Amino acid sequence: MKLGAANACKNTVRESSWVLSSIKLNSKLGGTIILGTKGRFYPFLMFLFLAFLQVQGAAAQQRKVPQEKLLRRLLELEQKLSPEQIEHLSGGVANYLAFAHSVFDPQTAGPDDDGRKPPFTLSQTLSGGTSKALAKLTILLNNPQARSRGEEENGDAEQISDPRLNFQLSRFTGFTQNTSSSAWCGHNVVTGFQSTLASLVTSVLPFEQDPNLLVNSASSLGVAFSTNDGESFTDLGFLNPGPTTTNINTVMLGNPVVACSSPNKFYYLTSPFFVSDSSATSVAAVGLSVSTDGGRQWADPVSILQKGGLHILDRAWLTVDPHQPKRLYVTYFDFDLDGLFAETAATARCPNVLRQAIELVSSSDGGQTWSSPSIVREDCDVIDPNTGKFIGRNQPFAPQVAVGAGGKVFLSYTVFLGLGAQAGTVTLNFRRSSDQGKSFDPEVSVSNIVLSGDVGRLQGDIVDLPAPAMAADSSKRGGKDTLYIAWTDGRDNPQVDVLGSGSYNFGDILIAKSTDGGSTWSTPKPVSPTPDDFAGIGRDQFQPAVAVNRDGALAVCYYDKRNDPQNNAVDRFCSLSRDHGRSFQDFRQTAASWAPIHDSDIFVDRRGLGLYDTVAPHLASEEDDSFFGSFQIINNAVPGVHGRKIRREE
Amino acid sequence: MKSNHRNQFIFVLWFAVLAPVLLPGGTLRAQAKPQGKSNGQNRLGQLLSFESKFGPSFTNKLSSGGASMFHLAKVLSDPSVMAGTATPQGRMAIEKAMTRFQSKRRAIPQVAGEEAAEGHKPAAVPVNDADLDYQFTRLGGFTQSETSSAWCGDTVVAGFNDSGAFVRTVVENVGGASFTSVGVSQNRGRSFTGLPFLNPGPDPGTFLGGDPVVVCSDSRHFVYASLLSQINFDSQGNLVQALTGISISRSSSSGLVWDNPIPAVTKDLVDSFGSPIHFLDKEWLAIDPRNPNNLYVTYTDFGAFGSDLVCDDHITPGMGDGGPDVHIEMVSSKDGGNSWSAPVLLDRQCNIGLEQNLSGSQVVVGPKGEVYVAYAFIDQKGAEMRIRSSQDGGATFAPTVVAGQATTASSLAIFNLEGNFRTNPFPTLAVDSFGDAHRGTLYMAWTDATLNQVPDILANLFFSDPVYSFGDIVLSVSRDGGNTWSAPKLVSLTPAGFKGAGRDQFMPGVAVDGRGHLAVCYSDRRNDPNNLAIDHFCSLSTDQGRSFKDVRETPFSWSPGHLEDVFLNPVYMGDYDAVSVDATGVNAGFFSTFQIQTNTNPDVFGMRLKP
Repeated sequence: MKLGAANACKNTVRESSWVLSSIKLNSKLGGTIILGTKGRFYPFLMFLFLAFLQVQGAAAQQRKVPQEKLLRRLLELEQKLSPEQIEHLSGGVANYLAFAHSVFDPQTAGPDDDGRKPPFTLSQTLSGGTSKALAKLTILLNNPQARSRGEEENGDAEQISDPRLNFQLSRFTGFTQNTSSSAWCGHNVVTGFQSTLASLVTSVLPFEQDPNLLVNSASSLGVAFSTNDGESFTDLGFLNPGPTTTNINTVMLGNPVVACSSPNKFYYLTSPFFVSDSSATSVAAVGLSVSTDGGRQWADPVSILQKGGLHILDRAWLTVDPHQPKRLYVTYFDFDLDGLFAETAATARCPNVLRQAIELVSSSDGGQTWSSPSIVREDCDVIDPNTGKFIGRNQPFAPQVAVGAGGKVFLSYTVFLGLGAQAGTVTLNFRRSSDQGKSFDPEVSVSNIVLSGDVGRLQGDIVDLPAPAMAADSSKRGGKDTLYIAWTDGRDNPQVDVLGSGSYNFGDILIAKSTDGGSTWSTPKPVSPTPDDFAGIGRDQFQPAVAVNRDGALAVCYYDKRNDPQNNAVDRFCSLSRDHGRSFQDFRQTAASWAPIHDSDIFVDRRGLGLYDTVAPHLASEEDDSFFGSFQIINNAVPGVHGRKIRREE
Repeated sequence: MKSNHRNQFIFVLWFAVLAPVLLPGGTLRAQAKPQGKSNGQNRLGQLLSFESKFGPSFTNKLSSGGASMFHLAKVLSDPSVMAGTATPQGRMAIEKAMTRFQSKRRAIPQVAGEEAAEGHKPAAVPVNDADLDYQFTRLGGFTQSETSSAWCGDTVVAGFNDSGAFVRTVVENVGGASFTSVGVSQNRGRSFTGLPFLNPGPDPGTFLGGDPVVVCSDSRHFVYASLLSQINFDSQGNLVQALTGISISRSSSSGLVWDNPIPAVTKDLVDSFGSPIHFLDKEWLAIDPRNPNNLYVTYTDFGAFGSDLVCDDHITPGMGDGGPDVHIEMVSSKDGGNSWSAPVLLDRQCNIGLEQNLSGSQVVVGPKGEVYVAYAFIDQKGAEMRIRSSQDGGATFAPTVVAGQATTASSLAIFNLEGNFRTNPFPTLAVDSFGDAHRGTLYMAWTDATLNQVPDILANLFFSDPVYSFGDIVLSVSRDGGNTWSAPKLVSLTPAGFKGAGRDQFMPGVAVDGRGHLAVCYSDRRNDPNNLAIDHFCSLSTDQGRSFKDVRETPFSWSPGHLEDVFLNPVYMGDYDAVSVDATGVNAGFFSTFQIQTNTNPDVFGMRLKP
């Protein structure tokens, strides 16, 4: 049985039949076991089998590395990037790079005193998981069921990722779900998230079960759906990565963004999304998965754009025009290394140097066809033309896109400035398009950003780079094209610190507002300042999400350490405003503060607590509680995705 | 002499402040250089030569204290770590923080926590002064763990690794630097006074690296062993000496004041070419119950090429590509620690490919002055508990006896438990020094993971090991002076009602009190079906280990953070928590020390136990 493919079958709308197949297990205690298991058969398995016959001879000589070409290519690209650029890569890419290092280059596989990077050797003889555990996991994955609310769970935040799926196959990984995105249409809520369980099931298990497997479509993303406004969720285990064939396989790494245009139609954007063709040459892409039944089943992902193998397309963001639901916009960040490789240097947009760009593509037919990319901002590294010596670079980062009531398209992103008079500062910038992304008005600076913590590293060794969270008010009462951008900023509470930069800047969530479609912006202000009676020196807030509902109510949700005077334990809070951001009322989303232990799972990005979480407006409702926020709770070192409607408490 | 020392750069932080001024454009990364030329660089940078030679996985073979020293060397070799302190604003920051800190210091020593009332149900009491955390920085210096205590009469003294001690000794410019600290109780462990650090002495070249072991002879006299490095430069920045060793510190004031440390043993860390020769690690300390002037220190010597050519493949064909020449050695003192014998070699192993290691020695002295040294031989398959004994004060030793075997907890090729932190298969040893009928009985406990193994596909993929092995604490007993040992027996079975696949027990400590009662204490995850949250338990026996009753010491299960403190290696959880008895034999029962992490902030707690 091929579990990953079997469940892909479940996720896709395909005919299936039951066959008996076997799993070979090697047990340390009991020798070899042959286990008969019922599974679902999928026609492409036959193609897989034929394909693998071709490579079997080579594989028998020496164990090949799964996804070898793609991994080697990524290592090649990584060598061209500076440490700070690598830090700008999202967790999905970082995880994959760490995997590549561990396979090919154990000496540089990471911090070298951490005990978890022995000289890796991929097993010559692979064995499957435990019969019992695998059988249980198979049942759970093939028959996903809604969980009823557990009494022991954290307050009334519903657990979205299913903890029953954890620890079935390994004690080392497969139990981390975070970086979530939710969308809510009708009574249906869909939440996407990064998941090491998905990686384990789609990336590791198939190779354990078939030692001759060389490529495999894989997904590092999970998905869960609710049919009762988020009261309970069904976790599918992983987002369908699509089929593996002789011609093509895909790897979806992270950055989930979920949107909906009707109670049935949900979109799930992923980036980076790598597609390998028959020559095993990988191309960089942004992937889109579509469900037409409220998130129960997901079609195979498709590339909405592809670039050559010398690009990493990262941190893509998706939005649906609220008034024209077939119109979609996707923005992303392009690490463009064309200029750095001989074969492409001459025709590169930035010849001989690195290019970093924010780009936009759009669809007017519900995601079936997509425009070619428009450049929102691009920065070429600057070198001395005579010596070739590097002079500096600006680095745009982490774009978001929103659409206003009149169909205008808004983009915001962070720029780390390394050139000119402002070199060394970080700014939050904005651009607007009035022609569906074909052209843009001049770039506007919303605000400078003071990095929180110690230059973006928070207490507890949590990296938090500033990324904007943006929402447009498309309500009738909200005024035309009112916009909000929130971000983490350390300007208001700096404290001396003998380590690092010398200053620890406790982070606040700041929000800026524009009532003229982004031409001018208000002075940023904290959504929830440090309380006067706070017992400690300061507390960090980080990773904001922002949304405006149909009534013009504004929700800003974020992580907050206000309940711990030592600034370690984390809660999720949402601040609600019904007066267009003039005043806010805070609502705690978590029943208990949790310890942010983010390195228990050995395949997780150890730099931080995921990248972002979102809050979704209920576009059909004008009620106060018409927001649904998803976020992580780390319960005794096990991170899971939770969520709840944002209720005004009595 | 003192002014000479002052002319040297004061350990690391001062260096970080001054170096950019004095060494414009210079790199802070320490490299071992011929003639030891060195401009006031990170002193611990000398350690980096070991990794240059043996590769990064060398550190994995060290104890937590040793690994932390190596980690610290790397942290401090990164010029950005303390770059901010080089600015005028940074220097003002230090002044401001020191002012705040010194006003705080005037308030201590103080009782660190609520006093546990006599006669009430025993409770864990704070041992270190948690209010000292976060005084100077949010990014590190708040970790106290890996504990040892000594109990004599009314006084209990606990030692522990303390990254905050390091920050305080450096910022306060006390001379040397200390990664280790002390808690003192004068009411038999009902409340503690937390000291800011263990006195490292005035020499800026001295670094007390941790791995604490505390012993006592009466309620006033305590001895505290630590890893030591002694690295000095002259005023021109030339390396004068680079020594690795084990120190002892003595207190004659019930642990409140400590004399400057004395080296019990030192060896050259690097040779004149900057190549690594020795690193002394994972020491233990014992005191003769009949004569407190007799002290014994055992340790691991990670000897490199050049220390002994027997491990060099050019000299000994068939030794593969060589590796450290690892010794278990012992030094002893007959005068209370003033002078020390030359090292006695107890065992050696060419650590070829870093896959055959010796470490984790513990030394105890029996009621007749007999000396026992237990340690582990560790390879890719597991560990072997070895013991040697001496009837003549350590002059000669009987042949090595194997007390038992251990399967490595977690997976074979990796020491990290579920939750991604490190543990070890080291033995812990105690001798009954008091009883009549069972006087001289030896007890050895260790972590063995033979009994509960579950298939694990990731362990299989990366480590060619198909299972995750849950750790159990096992106990073996010798009633003939260590010649023969009973079959290892589980101290505490996985509860029948346990909901998960298994639970890890790890890091045992063992002790026998004046009534011949036995305590085996350890970390335990039995309360978390996911096997992540940790408690500390003691299993108590009144029948020489035939039966046990378990006592939970922690008021809540805590989640194991290990990445948060910049000064500690990212898989640090400490290597042991020792348990003590009243060495004077007056008070019955045990004193157990352990860490509790509160939202990723580790602090040391203690608890008195009676069967």
